[in-house]
Amino acid sequence: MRLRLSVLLVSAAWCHAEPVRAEPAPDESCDHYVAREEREFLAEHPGATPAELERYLAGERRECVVEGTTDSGRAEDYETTTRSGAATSEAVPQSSTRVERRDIEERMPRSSPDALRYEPGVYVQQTAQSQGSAYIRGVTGQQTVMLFDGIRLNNSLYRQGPNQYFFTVDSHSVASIDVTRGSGSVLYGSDALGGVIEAHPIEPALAEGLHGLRLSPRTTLRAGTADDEIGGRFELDGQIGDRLGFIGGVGYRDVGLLESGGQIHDSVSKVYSGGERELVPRYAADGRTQLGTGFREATEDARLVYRLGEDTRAVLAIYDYRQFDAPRTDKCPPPFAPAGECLTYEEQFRALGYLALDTDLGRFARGARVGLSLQRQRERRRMDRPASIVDPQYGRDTVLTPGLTLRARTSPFRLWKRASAAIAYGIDAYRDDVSSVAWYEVHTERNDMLVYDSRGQYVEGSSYTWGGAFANLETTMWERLHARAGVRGTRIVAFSPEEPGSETSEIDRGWTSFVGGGGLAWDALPGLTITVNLDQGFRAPNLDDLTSRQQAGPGFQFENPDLVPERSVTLESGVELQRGPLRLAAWGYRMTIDDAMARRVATPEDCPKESQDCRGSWFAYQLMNLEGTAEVVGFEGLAWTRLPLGFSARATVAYARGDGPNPASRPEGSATDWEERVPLSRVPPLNGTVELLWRAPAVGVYLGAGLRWAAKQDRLAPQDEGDARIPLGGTPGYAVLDLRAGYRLGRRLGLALVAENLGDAAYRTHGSSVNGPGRSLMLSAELGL
Amino acid sequence: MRDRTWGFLIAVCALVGGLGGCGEDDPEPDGDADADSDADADGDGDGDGDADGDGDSDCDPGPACEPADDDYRPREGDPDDEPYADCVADDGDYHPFNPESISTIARVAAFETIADLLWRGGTPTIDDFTNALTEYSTAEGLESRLSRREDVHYPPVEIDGEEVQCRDLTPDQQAENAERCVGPALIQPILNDAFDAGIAGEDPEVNAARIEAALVWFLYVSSHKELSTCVGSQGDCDSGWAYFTGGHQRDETQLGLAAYVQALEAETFDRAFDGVLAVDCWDDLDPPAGDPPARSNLELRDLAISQLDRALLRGVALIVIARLEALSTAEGTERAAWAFLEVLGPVLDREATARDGAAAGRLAAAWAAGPDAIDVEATTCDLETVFHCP
Repeated sequence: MRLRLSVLLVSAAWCHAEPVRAEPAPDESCDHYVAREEREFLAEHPGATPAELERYLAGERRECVVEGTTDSGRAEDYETTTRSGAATSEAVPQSSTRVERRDIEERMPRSSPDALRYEPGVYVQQTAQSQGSAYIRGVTGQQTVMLFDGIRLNNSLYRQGPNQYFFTVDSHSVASIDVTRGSGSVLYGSDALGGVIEAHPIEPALAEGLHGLRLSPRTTLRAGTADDEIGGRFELDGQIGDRLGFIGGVGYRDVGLLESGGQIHDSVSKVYSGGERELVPRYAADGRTQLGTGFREATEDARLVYRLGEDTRAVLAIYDYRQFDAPRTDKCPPPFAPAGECLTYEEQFRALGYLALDTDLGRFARGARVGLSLQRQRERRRMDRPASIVDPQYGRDTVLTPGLTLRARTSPFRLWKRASAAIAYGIDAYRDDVSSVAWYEVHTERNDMLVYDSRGQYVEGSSYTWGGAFANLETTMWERLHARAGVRGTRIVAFSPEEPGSETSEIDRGWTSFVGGGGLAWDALPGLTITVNLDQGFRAPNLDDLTSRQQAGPGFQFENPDLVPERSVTLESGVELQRGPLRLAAWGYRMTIDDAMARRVATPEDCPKESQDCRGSWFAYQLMNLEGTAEVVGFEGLAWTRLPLGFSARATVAYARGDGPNPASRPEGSATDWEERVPLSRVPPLNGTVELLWRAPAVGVYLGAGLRWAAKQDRLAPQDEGDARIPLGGTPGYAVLDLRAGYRLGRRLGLALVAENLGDAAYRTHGSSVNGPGRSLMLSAELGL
Repeated sequence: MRDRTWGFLIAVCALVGGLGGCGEDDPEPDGDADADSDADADGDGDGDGDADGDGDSDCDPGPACEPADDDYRPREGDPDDEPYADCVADDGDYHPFNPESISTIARVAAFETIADLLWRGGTPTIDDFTNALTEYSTAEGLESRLSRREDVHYPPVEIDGEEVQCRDLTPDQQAENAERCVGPALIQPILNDAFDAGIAGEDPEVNAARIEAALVWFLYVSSHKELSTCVGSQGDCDSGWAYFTGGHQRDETQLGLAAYVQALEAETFDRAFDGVLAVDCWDDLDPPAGDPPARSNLELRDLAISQLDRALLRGVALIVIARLEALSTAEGTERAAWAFLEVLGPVLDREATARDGAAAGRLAAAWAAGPDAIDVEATTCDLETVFHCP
């Protein structure tokens, strides 16, 4: 037993036993080990397909991590172009990449969405500094699915367009994030039209043969100059005996006003016909610091893993995220409003707890997982209007979501002599119970009162229940041809009670949807795979679509109880090459969406009679199912290569072009500016990244440079024209260069420095309220035992 | 005829003490001094000129009014086409730029709702005040616009040589520039206090009257402001029209400020509506052009705004006069009437000072005198005289 005393952590670490290392050499890192395994595998199996290689390495990587040699759990310089992650078929790849823990540590993203900004086909929009929404193939929010350790995060209050909820996944609790582009509705049901994001949590290092107690504390401190961020996390990784492992942590950060590289302006001048208009955000006197930014954040998580047997473990975990006093930048102040007015998310909380059993139940249920989960999402919004006696106004929405998931796959079985197959299958069920209330307060010398609105953003007592089952057959034929075919059935029921005071009608609707999908992958040459996938997707209208009344970015949105599900078909094809130090992937796709839900401009007469804030808004919107087919076509590409002398380079590029039927009816007469098809809202522009890295693993040092760029986006939807976040004429293009440097000494010490936006560019990602940070530094220091 | 008209106008101007107060845009009395010496104060052509209606007024506000030559007169078919050429407004209707998205209509509707709660339905209760406050303060409601309303009759605020909008000023800075920052600095505090007192159960009728007067003030300032600023934002023209009429054409039932004015004097309402159409006509004749887009005939815009404002001011004066009458004749509502006058009466001071300094002084003294000391007849006469023609 060794006793170590940390000067920074007022705690002791008892290491009763060194972790048992099975395969890696005693001093070999997991990264080195997996890289070595890759080389050896390819030498032994020169005809191996990328999928076979990946399957092999995934197992090695898991084993390496479980044995606790490092926390990285990834191959040296391994940059995935294909994954067999949970979101995709193991036989037929989809366009997928993974962000690893080390990427997160080196790039130092400000949030989990921000961690995805170097992924091809992913573009991160920010309505506030405290929010972030990943666009995948031109869609986001409700049209993508977010998972945490296989548990669905999407709930029925996710609103149209970007939302902030992936920001509530603490990036410190994440080991990796998989991004799968393309439809995932067969596996994950409603919403998975554009893609799936799955965060994998950090795991305790559970070593076999350990007796007694092992504790490994770690503290990370982080600071940034652009927003005066200061924060940190204390984490404890431990084990009791050889069966029980645990890891948990608490974190906090305080983020100030964000200084940008400058202001973004309209690129065209015109006499605006839609009423007054003003771009957000508003700036401080220096013209760079953005009002309506900053927030505080507290996190806590705990994960217990109990090994029940060789192939069985139980996981009990809780992840609690609490964000405080986070202004919504485009409403702080709203356009034209007095400077003191501000909409603040006083509380943006999300808690997830679950109990999962990972086991192997024989040939019909390999790798099975049964999970029971409970999530609670809570928002409390405060509108400050200091000049009014109605100050503040509040809204509070809470959704409680119990869930059940079961997933497994069969052992491979022979179809015929040269064909084998396996079936992945599962069921899932979730229910949202919603509480929603709004009120205002008057506090004067004469009065001290609170007045409730008849309803909140949603209707108190609403619920949303859904359950589904899927099966996905995967086959390999003649060794080089892989196929998959899957089907899912889902039943969704939405209920919202009548609320007479606001003239809200009862909703009691249900939808049953069946979707299917399949694909073929051909290993044309060693390391070269050509894939074609055809997948259906669907998204049933959720409670936000059906019942919400809210001030959204472009205007006031009110309910449409008559919406029907939107259904998509995605045809994609990709070529992936993995040979030696070179990996290339290129995918093209076309996604068509029937009955796509989009905002149409509504007249004040369309507004609910009791909704004065709807009728009083410059722009009122109502979701509608478009008559006709919307489509997004595009491509994404990734190239990675390992260069001599420890260098590696990586580049990505992505483009999406979306359009659909004009939500507005053709006006009477000979309107000249009405078009039958118009761009879809806030589809990202052509964008990409370039990274050059140098690592010296022997001494633990790395240096790197990253360039993020985007072209101008001037394809605007009608609703974008009135959106105060989008300059007239479109969002300008940009190029932002970051430099990185760091040093790591195993678990004991890690230092990371990012010099961000060296050119001090004034930029924003399309559709954002907030501009990116100006020239600034971020520093992270990690100390552990 | 025209020579005689001008001669009479000059004489009247001299008599009321301020040539400078009679701008070139002022309307032309019909010039027949003999026939119209008993002025037609309500402009309806009947020549009664007796503002308080008791038939014994000695007030002689001036001759009957006629539109100025350079006014836009769609009801007459705009006879001389000068300076307004044929335009879209010649049909007598206002033509919204964005007819399906005029959010101002909802705010004027909210004004009507508040009116039903507070001053049209007897003595308001605490619940009425609470409901009215909810209506007033809702997101994108009346207060949202009132809290940033600037009176563009006054020059923009400048700090260190830079124009600054009132919304970006501190409350102290707004107070220092209260005339321009009329919404946050002058109107909103009145409303805050009146709602607060009403909810506390204090003087419900008095506080309802203060709310009414403050909101009428806001509607007047907003009509003028929005129609003035639609140079760069055509939607503002729609807002200006809606702040005046509630979004209605001339022959439809009016809401808000237009309803007040129409009920008191139809011709003044029509003249104000003509002013709105004058702006509509100018916008049609002077569309944005070039890069960046700009207007080329702001003189015509100014002429249209001047025509509009003259009529609006006459309308506000009529509202004040009517409340003066209530002060002197109604029993039990004097305090409410005075509370109304205290708020809305001084709104006319700026223009009164520009037109007739002496009368403006008397009016200011009247508002300071209090309900018991005010000379209602003299004050009414001053208002009728200074704001004689729409």
